[in-house]
Amino acid sequence: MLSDSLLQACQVLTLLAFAPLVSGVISRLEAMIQSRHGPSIFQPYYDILKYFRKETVVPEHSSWIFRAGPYVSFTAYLSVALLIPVLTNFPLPLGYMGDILGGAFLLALAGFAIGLAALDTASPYAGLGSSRAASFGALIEPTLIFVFFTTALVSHTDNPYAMNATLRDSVVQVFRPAHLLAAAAFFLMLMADTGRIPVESSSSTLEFGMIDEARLFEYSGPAMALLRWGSAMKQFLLYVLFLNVFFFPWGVAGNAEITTVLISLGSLLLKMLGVGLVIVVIESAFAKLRLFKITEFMAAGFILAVLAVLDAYLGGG
Amino acid sequence: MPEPTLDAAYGGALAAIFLLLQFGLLRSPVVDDQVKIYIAQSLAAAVYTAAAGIRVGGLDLYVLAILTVAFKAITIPLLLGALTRHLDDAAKEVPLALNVSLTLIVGVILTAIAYITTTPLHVSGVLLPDAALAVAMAVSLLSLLLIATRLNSITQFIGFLTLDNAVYFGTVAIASGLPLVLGILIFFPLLIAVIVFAILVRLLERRGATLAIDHLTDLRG
Repeated sequence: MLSDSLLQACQVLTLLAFAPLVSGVISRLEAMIQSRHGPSIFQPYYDILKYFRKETVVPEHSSWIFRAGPYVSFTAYLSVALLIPVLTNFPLPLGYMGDILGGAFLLALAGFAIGLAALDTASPYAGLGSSRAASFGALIEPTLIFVFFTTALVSHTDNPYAMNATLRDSVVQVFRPAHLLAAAAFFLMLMADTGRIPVESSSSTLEFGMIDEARLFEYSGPAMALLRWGSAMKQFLLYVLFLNVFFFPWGVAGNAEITTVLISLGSLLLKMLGVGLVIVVIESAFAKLRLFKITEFMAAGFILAVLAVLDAYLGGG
Repeated sequence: MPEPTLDAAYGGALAAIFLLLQFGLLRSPVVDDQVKIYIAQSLAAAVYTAAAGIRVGGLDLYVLAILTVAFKAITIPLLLGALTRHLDDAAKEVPLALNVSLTLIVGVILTAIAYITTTPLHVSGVLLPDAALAVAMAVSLLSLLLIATRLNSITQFIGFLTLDNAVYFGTVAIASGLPLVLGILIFFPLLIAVIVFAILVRLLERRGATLAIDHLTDLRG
């Protein structure tokens, strides 16, 4: 038996330890599908280690906001892992600290800290990235709010643990149209938020198409390591939310035995591999949208979310 | 909210796909894609009919489902293909009277209106306890929106066809036990309309050498 506090710490550690691995596996899969050899699946770890060893260069006119940005965002991502069911499906001591909106606020805080820090550098590229991320973020937000409305209507609460329990109750809950539509909307927003291809090409080095990546231009050394690690963690968190709260609530540990928790970790990584495969196929099959066409992508997600609410509220779900 | 049944869940999922495909039609700017979406929507309607048949246990609905596939998913798309085959890519792009994002937002508002106005009536279907009339109504309104905002005669033809799909879907969803004769009767006016439309489109094209109907205003004497 593991104590609840220890389990909670394990959730955060899982996030820290495996987030870069998920990024690494996805980029390796992508390389394989495009018949390239590709980097090792541990490449993100090597990158983070390398950045930690480098020296830090700070732009001349930047203030403490620039220096605080990476730490604020990194801490915010770590705190989200306390609120959502990463390894266990029963709420841990701090699980009631915030609901799914609380998690969204923390993610928004992280984005805000990075965006503000990017503006603080007065570098045109970082500023451009910050402005783009803010405008597209404003389009993602309403969709997410409607997705949360739907989950609240379906499970009568917006606590992610309760949501997971409602879905586990019966398979029918997962295949309710309201829920499927909300999950699809969430998936589209997940693609947008993690910088995947219809919206942003995460591996590209071309500044014109950059949204999130451009904000990190002025960073170097350990701060850059934290930001890179942070963006891998954000992706990991969104995948966990999508899988354990929205789409595939099974395979999460129901008690505190070491074996079940380990099985839960294994199944989580397997499920992530599944999502990763879907994302790799989408990334290889579609072309990146032009910047001004991204609004159509967002509109599609918004429609799914609004239909989900309509269906849950009026159509009986 | 009452606990959903399995029937309601897959009926609802099919209805949601049916409705989403209509949104896909509004989003798509190329005639060929629109024909493909129309095929998919007809197939969704056919699967729904077959599912209702399994639930109700009537042979009528299976026959109707097969007719739907044969007619709406094979014959009409072939005809549409014949009408568009000789067109070049530029002619297949649909001129928009309202841009895609705005159309989609208007579409969401229309869907909301359909839901809000029809749910108080409590018209329930076998597979769709609450949303049967709402989905049919929403797809009809979206078809009219498509006809109103897309300036291409083939697209408007497809809008008419999806309007028919909506009526058909509503009929099957609400009155699954309808006699086969009535079901087939719904197909008949469609058959006439398809022939009339096909001739009209050909005629328009021969006269104006274009399918974009915004040029028609030039014909005024």
